[in-house]
Amino acid sequence: MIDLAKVWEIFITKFSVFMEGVGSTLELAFFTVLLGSVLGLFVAIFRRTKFWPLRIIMNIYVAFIRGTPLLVQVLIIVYGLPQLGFRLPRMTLCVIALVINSGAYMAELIRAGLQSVDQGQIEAADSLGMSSTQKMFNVVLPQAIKVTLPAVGNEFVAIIKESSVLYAVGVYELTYQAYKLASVNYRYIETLLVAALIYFVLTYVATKLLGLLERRMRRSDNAAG
Amino acid sequence: MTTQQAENIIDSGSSGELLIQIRDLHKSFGNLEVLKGINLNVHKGDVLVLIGPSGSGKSTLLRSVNLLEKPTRGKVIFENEDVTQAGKKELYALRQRMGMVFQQFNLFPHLRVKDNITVSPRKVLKTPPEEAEKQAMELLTRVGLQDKWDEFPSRLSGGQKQRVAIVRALAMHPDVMLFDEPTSALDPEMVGEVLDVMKRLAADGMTMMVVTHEMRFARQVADYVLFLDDGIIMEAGTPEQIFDHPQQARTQDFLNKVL
Repeated sequence: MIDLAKVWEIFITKFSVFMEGVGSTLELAFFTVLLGSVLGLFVAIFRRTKFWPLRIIMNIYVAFIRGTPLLVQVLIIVYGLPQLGFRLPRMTLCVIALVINSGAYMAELIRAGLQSVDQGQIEAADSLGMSSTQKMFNVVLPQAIKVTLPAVGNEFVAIIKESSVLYAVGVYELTYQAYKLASVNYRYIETLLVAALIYFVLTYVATKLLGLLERRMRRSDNAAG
Repeated sequence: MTTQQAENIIDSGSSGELLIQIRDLHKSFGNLEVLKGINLNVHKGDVLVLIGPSGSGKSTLLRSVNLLEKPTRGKVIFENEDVTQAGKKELYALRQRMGMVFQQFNLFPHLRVKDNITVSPRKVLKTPPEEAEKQAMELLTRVGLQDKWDEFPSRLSGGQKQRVAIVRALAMHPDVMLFDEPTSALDPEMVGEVLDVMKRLAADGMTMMVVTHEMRFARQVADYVLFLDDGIIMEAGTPEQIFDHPQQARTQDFLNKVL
């Protein structure tokens, strides 16, 4: 039997432990989305360059990351980089792993955004004598970013959940904290349920907030686009 | 009668200096040959109107002038520079001197009217912002839209959008203006306001190449009318010659359908 009273009790008595996990999880998700977007943006732009070696490298990167498990990527970065002499804090290594992973997915999202920009916009910019760079930064990117932002929000929600694989390398994110508690109190179901409920609240609230933001953006979009 | 033979160069015929020379221009999309050898001289200050059935190649011809379409063969010489042979940077510089107005306006939706107009002077010509804004305001006032300065394009009517698009092109101080069916996407009641702006531009001496279905405009404003059919200039002449005394059966056919 699941003891619901016990679920509540664990939540209340170990509140600070869970909150420490929530803090790490949100921190990871935040930095991953922030740096992952920047990486994804560069990858997406490089994939459009005429310089084919760069294009091929970027395509291999995206295909490789999307075609291998996140956990394996995390293990390679977190244990592999120190072996190669990069001695960084574990949390930093985890962010690197998540950013490398997320960057590939972001690159796809941003690519779709770039492709969504109307051909007429590009022709107008061309007809005004803009160079490729001027065209990219003044015309294409601002429009592409607007289209991509909702998907970036979804990526934030996804990373809140996916960062739970980091429990395997002992980062004090939410899943690890819950698992550690459970292995002491032997209340696996109750303790992990607390973690699951916290995850749900986080993603639910984040999704609602993003939806609100998106609606507001669309309203200004009608005024703007 | 001026019918185009392979080596026969159509000349807009005014005394102004030669601005654009188009020689043996061909363009194919896959197996479809859209332009089959165009030879044309455009003189400074002339207003050329290109008419013809859809698919005749008139838009493609216009878009080849600023290389939005890359010709398969032949050349376009603009102010003594071969556009088709230009490197990247030369092409940017050439395009800065050729304004273009599109059927679908193609205003930048994320920028306010003022920024739509000033973005290229500021970024491309490196005009100081105050100077660019001053010029933009003058031009905008000339088309009667000074009160739309801070609006986004989505708040404008089609006719207003197209007038802003014309101003955006003019802000680069072009030597020629290319109009690709500028009124075809407009509601009928808005066609007039755009044509008025174009008429004034023509009266001010701007060199213009206009693809249009507005035959009245062509008759009133054109110095020279080109009738394109099936990728060649089938017939060319003054508005009187083309509209009142068309020589070619295809021209007569076309005019009977549209007039």
